[in-house]
Amino acid sequence: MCGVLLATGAVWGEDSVPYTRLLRADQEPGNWLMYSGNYRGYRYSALDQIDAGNVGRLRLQWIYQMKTTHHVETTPLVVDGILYATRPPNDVVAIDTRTGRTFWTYHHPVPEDVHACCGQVNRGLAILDGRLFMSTVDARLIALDARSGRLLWEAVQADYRAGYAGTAAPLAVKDKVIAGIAGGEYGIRGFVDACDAATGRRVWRFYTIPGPDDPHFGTWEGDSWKTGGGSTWTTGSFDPELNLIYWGTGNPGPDWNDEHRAGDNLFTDSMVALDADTGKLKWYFQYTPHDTHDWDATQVPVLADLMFAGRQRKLLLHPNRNGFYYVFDRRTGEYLLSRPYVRQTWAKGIDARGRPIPLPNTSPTEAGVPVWPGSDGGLNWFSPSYNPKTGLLYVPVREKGEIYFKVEAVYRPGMSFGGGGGKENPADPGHGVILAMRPQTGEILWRHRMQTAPWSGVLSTAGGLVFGSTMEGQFFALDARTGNDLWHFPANDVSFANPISYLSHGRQQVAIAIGDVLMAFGLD
Amino acid sequence: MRFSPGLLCCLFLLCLGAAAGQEGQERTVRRDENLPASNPYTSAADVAKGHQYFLGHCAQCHGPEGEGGRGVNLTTGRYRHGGSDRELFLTVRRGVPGTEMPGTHLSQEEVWRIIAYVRRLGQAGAEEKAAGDAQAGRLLYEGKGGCPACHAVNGRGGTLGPDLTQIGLRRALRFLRESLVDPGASIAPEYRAATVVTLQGSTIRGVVLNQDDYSIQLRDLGGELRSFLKNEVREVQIQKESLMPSYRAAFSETELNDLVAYLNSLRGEP
Repeated sequence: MCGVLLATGAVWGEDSVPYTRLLRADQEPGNWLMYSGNYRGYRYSALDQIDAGNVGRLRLQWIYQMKTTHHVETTPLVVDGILYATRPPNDVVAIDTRTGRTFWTYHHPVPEDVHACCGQVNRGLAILDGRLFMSTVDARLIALDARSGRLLWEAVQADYRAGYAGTAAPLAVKDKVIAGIAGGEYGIRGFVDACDAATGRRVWRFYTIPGPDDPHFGTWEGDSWKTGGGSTWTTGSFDPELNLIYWGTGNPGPDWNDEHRAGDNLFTDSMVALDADTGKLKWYFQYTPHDTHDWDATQVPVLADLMFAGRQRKLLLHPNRNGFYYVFDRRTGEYLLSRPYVRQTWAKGIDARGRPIPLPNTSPTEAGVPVWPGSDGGLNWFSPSYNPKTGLLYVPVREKGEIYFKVEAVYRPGMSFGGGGGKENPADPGHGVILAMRPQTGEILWRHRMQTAPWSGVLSTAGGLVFGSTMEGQFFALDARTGNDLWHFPANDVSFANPISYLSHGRQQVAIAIGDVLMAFGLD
Repeated sequence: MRFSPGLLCCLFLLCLGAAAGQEGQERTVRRDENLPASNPYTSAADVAKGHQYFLGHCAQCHGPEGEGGRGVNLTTGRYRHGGSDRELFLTVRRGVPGTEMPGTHLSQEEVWRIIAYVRRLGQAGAEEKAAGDAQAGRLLYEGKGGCPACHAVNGRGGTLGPDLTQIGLRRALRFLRESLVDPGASIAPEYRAATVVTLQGSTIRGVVLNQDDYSIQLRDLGGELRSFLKNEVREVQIQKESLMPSYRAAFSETELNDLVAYLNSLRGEP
């Protein structure tokens, strides 16, 4: 697998966006060069033209209509005035940020028999040396010439007919493209791939479920590891100094029926720290051993260097889907802290080594068991934002429980292998919250309540703003220090995306996809 | 050089009226449910009628005598998308997805009569054999002609002009030659050229990627993507001529033959 299907060709503009620009992404806030804005997973913009004093005058500048019935989960990239966005399932468009007019469109043909568990979605692109990279729902990683949209190579990662799918934005690191895989509800065996950016040739693969030759093998009952899930469907982060890539892994399979997978089920629901050159495991931490609630640890890891308990440390911040917020030393993986950030009813607490102490009668049953948080977790794939100016972590939160049930699970390649699910709890319709959190302690400084539990991320800016959107399609700006609601725009459709900010002809814009429309806002 | 783009090759009839939308396709599929395996309309009168339909709907691309042009030569009797009557019928009816050849809403009888005429054309069994030396043409393409600066073959070359990886499958010999000596004779809409003159007086030429009443987007001669507001420039001129220079004077007759032979040999995967 990972065979390269197309010979690579010369790229015009190969000198544009070299790795050195990605390393210094913070120093060019006029661009948005990778999924989270920088390698640290901040989703923060150092632009401050739009601030608390003038955000009330924010106006729609242009829209791009995707004309799709799929969820639009894309985070665009912006390079020197050109915005690159994915349009589901796997088209790519290059758009002029001043007018919203397209320069080119690339269409990736998707086979009719693709089964992606949660829709044929795509969350974005990576760019390096004039090449754009996209994972596809038929489990390929492809490279396009950023100036022309021409296909340069495509590498097959896995067999989509067995439930493998690519939905996350890849991460370009040095001369490689790092790409995860989705399919945790289909009995896949998850991995993280690194492919050569110029040719698509696979350089390394890290299996999130260790095989028999691995010292970590043996945490699964029988052969259950072979269909154990551990997908990697959200973009990770990277620390160039430590040369480590941090990537969250997904649930064990079957998600809700654990009858035949006794054990901790490593490395599902974990954070793995991988050597960027070799893919070798440096450390791991499993948040939810032997998970029965579908609590993938696929939230964006935030890498911040902060004072912690009296000394400066390189931290990894992670509001996990299981309802707890975690802090680690990212050099060693040392567990430092955890604290619930949403209502949780499944754990008595977390022990000194970070292992949860589950409460009895919280695993799914045939009749159903109410547990908080729900299967979709406190935070899901959508992004938090760390703002170095306020020193706060902003987290879009789902305050919602579910009734967990289980059914029989039989593995058939390419067929759903969940073994249950989470149902709405009529006693708790849930709601959403934007939290402002002190990252060193998990202390919550303010809360902005939303009617409905969200599916979209937040962006914070040097202008003292937090942008986000609601399930009803209100795109809003909050005061980053107080949480006060300063502005909103009624886009009036469901929102499944993260905002970004950049400069267009020297003027700050904020863009987000709501419904099937990508929209850009700016000051007149 | 100037050729039309297209991801897949279009080997058979082009230009048969408007492409069917989804609803239209469903209608035509229903209409063609009981399609016979062989053409029921093959009399001399049917062929004559088919010739008239062909002139009206197909000749613009395939040439009045089926000799080819923007569309392929139909006098060879070889059909890439299937040569049975039924396959020919469906190719005409549905078009070739991913190419410039659209489908048609013509009645079954009219399509069958066109097929009857196309069969007559194919009986010529003509060989489209290029006169020149393809190897020599390749050297000209990569050297004296400087063609890779703007055109790509198998992923290598520029993107200002159309990709030529499969051009030998998609274009007849005479069209290839015409493209070299008179590039402006037929310019695909995706490769129209424009000149923008800024208020400061500088001139930017490029291929038009997009435009509306207020702005225009170009790929300039350096390959850069450029966007201009029309009220912020002195002039926007859509050019009638191609960005590609004519090679009439640059190449001898032999060299032109060699280059056409090379282009005709390009039949690879895109």
